[in-house]
Amino acid sequence: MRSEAVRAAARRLLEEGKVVRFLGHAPGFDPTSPFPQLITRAEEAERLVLDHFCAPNLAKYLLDYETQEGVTAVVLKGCDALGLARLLADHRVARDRVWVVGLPCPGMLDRDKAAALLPGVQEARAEGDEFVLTGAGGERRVAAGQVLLDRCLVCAVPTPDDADELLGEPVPGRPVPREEDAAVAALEAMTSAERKAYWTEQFSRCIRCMACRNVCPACNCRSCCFDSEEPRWLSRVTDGPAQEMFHFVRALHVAGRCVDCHECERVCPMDIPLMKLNHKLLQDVEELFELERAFVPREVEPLGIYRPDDPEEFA
Amino acid sequence: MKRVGVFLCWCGSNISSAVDLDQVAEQTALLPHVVHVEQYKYLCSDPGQETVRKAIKEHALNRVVIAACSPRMHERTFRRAVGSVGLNPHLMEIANIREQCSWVHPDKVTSTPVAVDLVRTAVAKAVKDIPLEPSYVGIEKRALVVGGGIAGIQAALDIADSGYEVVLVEREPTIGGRMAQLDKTFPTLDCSSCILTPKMVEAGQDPRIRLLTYAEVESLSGYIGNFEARIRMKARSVDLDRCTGCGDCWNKCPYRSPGEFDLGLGKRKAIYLPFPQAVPNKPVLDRATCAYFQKDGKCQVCKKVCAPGAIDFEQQDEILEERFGAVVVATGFDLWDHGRYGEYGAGQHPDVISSLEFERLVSASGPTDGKIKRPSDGKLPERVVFIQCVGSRDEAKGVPYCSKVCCMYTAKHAILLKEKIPSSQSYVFYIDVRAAGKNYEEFYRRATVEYGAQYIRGRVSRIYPRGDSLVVVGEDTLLGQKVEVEADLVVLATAVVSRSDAPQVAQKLGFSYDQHGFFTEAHPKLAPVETNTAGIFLAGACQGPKDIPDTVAQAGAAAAKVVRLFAKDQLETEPTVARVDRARCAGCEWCRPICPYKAIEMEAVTERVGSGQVARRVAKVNPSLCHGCGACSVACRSGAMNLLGFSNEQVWAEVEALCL
Repeated sequence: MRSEAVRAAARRLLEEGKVVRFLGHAPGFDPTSPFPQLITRAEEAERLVLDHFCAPNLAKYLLDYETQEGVTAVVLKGCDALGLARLLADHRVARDRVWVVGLPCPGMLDRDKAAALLPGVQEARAEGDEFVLTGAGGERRVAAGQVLLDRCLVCAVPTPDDADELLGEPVPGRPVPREEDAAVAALEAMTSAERKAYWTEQFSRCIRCMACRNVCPACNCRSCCFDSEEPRWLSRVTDGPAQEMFHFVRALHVAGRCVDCHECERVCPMDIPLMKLNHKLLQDVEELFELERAFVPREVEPLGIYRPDDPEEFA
Repeated sequence: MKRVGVFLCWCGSNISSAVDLDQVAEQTALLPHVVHVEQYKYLCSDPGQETVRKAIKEHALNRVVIAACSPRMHERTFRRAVGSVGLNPHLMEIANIREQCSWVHPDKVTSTPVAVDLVRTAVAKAVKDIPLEPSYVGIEKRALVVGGGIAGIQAALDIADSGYEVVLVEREPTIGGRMAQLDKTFPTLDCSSCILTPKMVEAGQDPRIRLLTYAEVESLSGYIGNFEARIRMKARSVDLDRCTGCGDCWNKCPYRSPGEFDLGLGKRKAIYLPFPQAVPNKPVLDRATCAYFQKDGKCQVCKKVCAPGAIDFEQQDEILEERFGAVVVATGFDLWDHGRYGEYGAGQHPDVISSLEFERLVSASGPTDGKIKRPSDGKLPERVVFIQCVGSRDEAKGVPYCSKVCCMYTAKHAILLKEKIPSSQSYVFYIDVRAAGKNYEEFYRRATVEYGAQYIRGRVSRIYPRGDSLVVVGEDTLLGQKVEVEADLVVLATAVVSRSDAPQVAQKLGFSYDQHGFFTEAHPKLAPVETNTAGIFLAGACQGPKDIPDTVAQAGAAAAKVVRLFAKDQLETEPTVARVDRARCAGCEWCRPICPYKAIEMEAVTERVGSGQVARRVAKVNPSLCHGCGACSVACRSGAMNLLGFSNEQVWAEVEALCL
């Protein structure tokens, strides 16, 4: 899709010395799940790709270079850029040490949906409101709605607004009603016993692989409470109340800080609907603190300060 | 090796009658690290403390658990006892088995296991106690007094007389407050101004007191011994250094409007002195009613007649930044708005007035020169009805509490009325007469016996006009019959309520207030003039309804607390403050804005990474500013913020002891 453009940008930035390293994507074991790729020399630019399967958010990898000299260039979509904004608001990354190569994002594909529509899918290209999937099984033309990631179907921020350069023209946000709110409403409609049963069932699958935490731009602590030995806040056992503790603590630690990027849910190998929790909390923050777009990071968040007129209900 | 001694207090029979302490002792002795368990009837007594000291020495204890009353009562006592035999005072924990156990559980069967749990929890915490040392800070020996009524004046005078500087801030153009508006005072009938004015003058002239009138405290930061206040000097449009108070300006000013001091019963000029004895005796120009500011920018009569050239139309608000060691808050009270009683005319009838308005009518310096003329037509009223508890003791429409002063001033009003208009008759509707105070009952008796005030026990249900008089309909509950009194004037003893902006003032200065907006004392009996913020004290009716003697006494007490503080050269600060684990801190700054005491700053640290040095930012706690509230340690997701004395490890140990 934009592989040539990203290679050109990387080559130019590294040659000019504007940046000392470039974070992008490269093909993985399978073309539909690319890996993050760091390059430091212009001639490595050939390894980069940027296609419709480049869903992974690279913002958090910036933390790997927090103690290293020089500017890091990073390829960010609109949603990823909010992750960077989170890191900036949390003072974890300095803006002048990052060069944002923004991708006005047409939406990323859900590899599971694509594979279901065309087994053995290898590539995808956009044609209008459709995607053409190609692979060992031939070629298939599908509607965007059938194959895009759920989050992309309701994306409000496809283009990063803080980019140092853009790979293409800005893409407008989709004015689609947020279906997640319906999911939250369905949860709220349950009795507390039903809700408890629902979440116990969901959390029972958790293998505590920590992928959700590791990918989350809001989970950016140097030292995570879940790793602490003294005190050991959370039992290592993966059943019973410890499962709930883990998930509720995780959700509350990102409450009011979640950037709505859906990465936790995308990477969860057990398909736990983590965004339902995150959305519920985002929605509460918006309602109680009369805030719009609570997922956009702010310097001081409503849950990060005490004001005498704070609503009592958030507890 | 941790050696824990546990001491179980009977508290007379307060604990021993409701908890099986033998059983608690038996089970406690089995806990790990516990090497000694002992019971005593009153541990807080001298011999009780001695048993603790003796046991520490005999059993080489290095941790102590006292199972007794709330730490609010005796934590200090036992810290001192433990400290006196060389053990760090913070190696002592209290298990509250009185307020949190014996007092709240019905019998030994339910309370004893709870006491065992509480002691086990305290032991678990004590085992993780570490020695803590206090730090010391200097004291700025200057006091800020907020509010220039009798409470503020008295506190300022007492502090200044002890040799310390005072800044007295008053938002009105003069000091004097409510007391200046009163005519006579009960139960002696001294003239209010006659006893107040000398104090006002003294405050104005004392070289150690700086009066800042027409000024308000904008913000207060810092902590005991080291407060920083921002004070807004509102533009008075009069240069106080030049003004001689000659009066030419207000005599010549052509514009009149209702005067605040007389509650709108009289008029004042646009440039005016609120009352003749005002301190400073210099006018203020009210820009809202001045033609120069509101109309054409011409007039300027005051400027033309002012010989010393003191009028300054260009004057701007000014912000002063001052440092103080202590603050006395004496911001006074308001009166309940009787307009909320529709049955009493909803505040619409001119001859239904509040008691404070009556004070102005009866005062020689008031709008009628002390003649009691009723507002509607200026006639001298012959029949006056006084109604008590208007707003007070009325949970439905007003406030639930008793305003304390109304019974006495109503008796005073009845006496003053009879003295001024001998042919008059007063009627007082009351619920109870509360005359508890020295010479108060006698004073009330005089009003009824010597001055013939007719007291009717019952509430008034309705007041309505008939011709040019008012009909007051009520019930005499002693006779059990309906009463109707025709009156020329009705005076309502409206409730004493907090200032409408009291909550904002409390938030700005940083202490708490109750559901009625009155400022909360640190302890209702044992710390009645302290707030729960160290170094801030209360005086007068801002803390609750009070008469003048109580207010003056409380102001003196607040001053004594300030002086007691200033007598020291250094303050010991509590060592239970937050501490940052720099290795864990990511520098996200989530703790910084959440700290109510602004005690957290960021600092740069350098660390070795590989072969090089790397700088990064981490949080830093100023131990003098930190109050140990724990907000930061809760906000910190990685647990880098730890509250000493209540560390994450200790709280966790307590939870484990309780749950596992």
